[in-house]
Amino acid sequence: VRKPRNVGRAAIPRRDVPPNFGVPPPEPADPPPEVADPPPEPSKTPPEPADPPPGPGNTPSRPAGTAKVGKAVGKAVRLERAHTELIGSLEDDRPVFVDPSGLRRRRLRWLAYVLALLLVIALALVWWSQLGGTSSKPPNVNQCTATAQAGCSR
Amino acid sequence: MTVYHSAQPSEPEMPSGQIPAIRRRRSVVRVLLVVILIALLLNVLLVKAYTSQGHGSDGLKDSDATDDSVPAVVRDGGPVLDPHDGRPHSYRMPARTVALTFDDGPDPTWTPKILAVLRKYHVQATFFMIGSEVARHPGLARQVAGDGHEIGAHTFTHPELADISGWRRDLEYLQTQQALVYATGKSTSLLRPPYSSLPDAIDRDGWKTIQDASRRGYVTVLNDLDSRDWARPGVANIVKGATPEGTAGAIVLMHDAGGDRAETVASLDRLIPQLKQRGYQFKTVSAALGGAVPANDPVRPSDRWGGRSLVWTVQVADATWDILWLILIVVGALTLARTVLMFFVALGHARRRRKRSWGPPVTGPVSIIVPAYNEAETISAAVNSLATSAHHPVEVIVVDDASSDGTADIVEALHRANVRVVRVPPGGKAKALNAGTALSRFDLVVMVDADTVVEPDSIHRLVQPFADPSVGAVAGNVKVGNRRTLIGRWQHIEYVIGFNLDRRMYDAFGCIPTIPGALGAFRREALRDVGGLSTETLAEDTDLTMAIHRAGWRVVFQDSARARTEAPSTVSQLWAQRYRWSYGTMQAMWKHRHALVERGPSGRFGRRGLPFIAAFTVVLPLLAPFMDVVAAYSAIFLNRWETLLGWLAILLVQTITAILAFRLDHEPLRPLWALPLQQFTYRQVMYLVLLQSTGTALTGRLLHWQKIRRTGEVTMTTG
Repeated sequence: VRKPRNVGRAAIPRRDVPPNFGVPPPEPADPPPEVADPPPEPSKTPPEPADPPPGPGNTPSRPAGTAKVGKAVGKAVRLERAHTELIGSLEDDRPVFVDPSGLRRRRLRWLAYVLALLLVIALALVWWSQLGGTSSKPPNVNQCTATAQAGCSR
Repeated sequence: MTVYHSAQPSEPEMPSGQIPAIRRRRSVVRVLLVVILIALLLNVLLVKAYTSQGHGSDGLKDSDATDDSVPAVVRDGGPVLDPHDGRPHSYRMPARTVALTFDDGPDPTWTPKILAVLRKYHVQATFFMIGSEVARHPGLARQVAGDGHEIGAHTFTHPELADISGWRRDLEYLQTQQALVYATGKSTSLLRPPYSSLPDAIDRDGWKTIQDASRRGYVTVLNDLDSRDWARPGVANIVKGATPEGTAGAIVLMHDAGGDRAETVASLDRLIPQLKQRGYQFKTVSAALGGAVPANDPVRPSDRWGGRSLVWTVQVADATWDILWLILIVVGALTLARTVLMFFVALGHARRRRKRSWGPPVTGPVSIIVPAYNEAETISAAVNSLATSAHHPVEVIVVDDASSDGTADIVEALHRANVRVVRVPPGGKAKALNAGTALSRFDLVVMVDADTVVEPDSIHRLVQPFADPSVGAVAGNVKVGNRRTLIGRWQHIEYVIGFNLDRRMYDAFGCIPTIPGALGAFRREALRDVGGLSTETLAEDTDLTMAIHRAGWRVVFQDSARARTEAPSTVSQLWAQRYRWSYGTMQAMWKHRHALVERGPSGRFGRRGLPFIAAFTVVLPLLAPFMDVVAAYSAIFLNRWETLLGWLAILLVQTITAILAFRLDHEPLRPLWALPLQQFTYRQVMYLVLLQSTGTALTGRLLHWQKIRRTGEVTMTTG
């Protein structure tokens, strides 16, 4: 929502913006940027390094003058009065995924420990059963019950 | 593109020596977990390789080298050998008796068919099974035993027993026995060594292994008649080969696995009635010998545990391998489909762009916001290139996020009339950009990283799409400026292919996931609609882009608006950057997941774009390590040349895609020589980063950020 007092009267700042600010660039119809002459360099305006750059804390010097401009041509305000607006918060939002309590992390860690332990035990059992076994034929259960055969007590 | 570090005074950097003991211990545990996981996978793959050794057919070895160490009584004797007590014993089938024997099973296709034929004629036979196959199909072995047939051992992996060492031979016997005991509840005393044939073909080594087996309680069963059915000579020939002369008894060798056994099944249907007519009886080996040798004996239930663990191991290994193959096929198909799609869509996109303009030229004023944190090396090049843009007028707002290296002073010393410096308290890139947007005055807002140098007409080209009132944001074409090192060249290739070609495809589908922080333009209205940038994710650019999509704005890619950015020049910097990107992208997708079920433009983006983005930026790259595992396994255990060929085919497709991307981008093709090398480090780094960020997402840990070290190498003179 623009304030009506800015319409129709433009305060021309002295240095802060290029002199043709607010009006269409000098080239009338779409110039192909590659072949066009370099645009007038903003830095060619007489630099006055002694002046601090405009900022929230600095009050720039008074306007050099005023010019009457039509409604449709353009409008400009002094830099510090420029129409700006805060969009988006400057507060910290809670980051996605982050669990400040650490509960999820603790649970996952324990789950990982338990799973890893189980897997390692399973792996060890498999290796033990393969390398620790005897290559002889297992004893016949009937013979084992009848006589105390070698290997039955395994 | 900046890995933007928000100054966090509360989190002082700690040298690793000062990491508290508990954190050090946890990182050791984490490494241990990874080692365990890798060890398990290796173990499973080795089991798979061990149990899947290919083998030739039996009865191939026809050694006529007679050896004095083999007693004559064995060579001229029967096919059943039991040289116990140091004396050779051999047995022969009685007259008019045939023992049918089937090797190499069980097989899920052919064993049931053979069982059906045998059942039809009420005939009992002997099956010499391979232990690893029994472990795969214990049910089949149980069925064979249940039908009253006899089961013998044919070793676990079908090696030539005489050629392997003693401990491996022991393992072969033990594992076969374990598998049979688990499947049938009975052990076996019968052994048929692989590649064995007639008794007179036994050589010295063969005789030694037979004696050795006998000491372990096994009776070796050779054969009298080889049907040679494995060669598929035709039913008539099989029957002829399996028919004994006169009234002689015989052990007949056949196979119920190892290929197409239809001829074997058909020949049984002829052989059995023919021999029965001649008065022959069909018996199992031990039954034919009238109990002279033992066969299948029941064992204690406790003896089944070894077999159980073995069977489970083999089955887990098989299942793992099947899953790996499935992943390989799915990933391969998706990647290929994506490449082909990308190829044609990008071509079409480029053609459309050449033909169509956006509308009347956009010449309105543009605000350029440059967030900077300790960018002293690069800031002046970046700001100069922006302030002297061909687009006119522009205002450049450098938002200094509490730099400590005088970044703001450097900008102020440039004395450019259309450049302003805004100093904000430390808060991160998103907040700096929000502050810059708040202080900017024009309706078109361009955001550029402080390490990025734009071409003079880039800003003008970048804002041209805003002639279309539905366009809310425009992505620029970001290129790597420092390409002299290998890592820079790799990133250059990746930027051109991945970001440029990908972005064209996403653009064609209307779901560009990210407007790069290095160069992007926004309509103020669109920024206002989504409430600016948020600090909820680490990839604020992706988050913002998705929000703009959901607000109903079009997001387009303007490939002619080029900028050069300084890419990370070391692996650790690259790691940090990609960690932020992949983690941030996941965060952004999760944050916008509700778009999947919403109505209107948000739902359109959610259903069309999000699954696409999730599949190609997270899921596929996450599965990439499995491709490497399968490739490594195939190269070691399977056909080396086929693996190489497959790899070369993938490389060819990639190269063609790369050439297309480079051509579309008017880039010289020279850096492409580094493409094959990319497969060996770069790719791995990329998916390991993704794995790590997935872990972080799951555990919900908070991240701390490192800023990449600048070399100030990027200038506009290159290229």
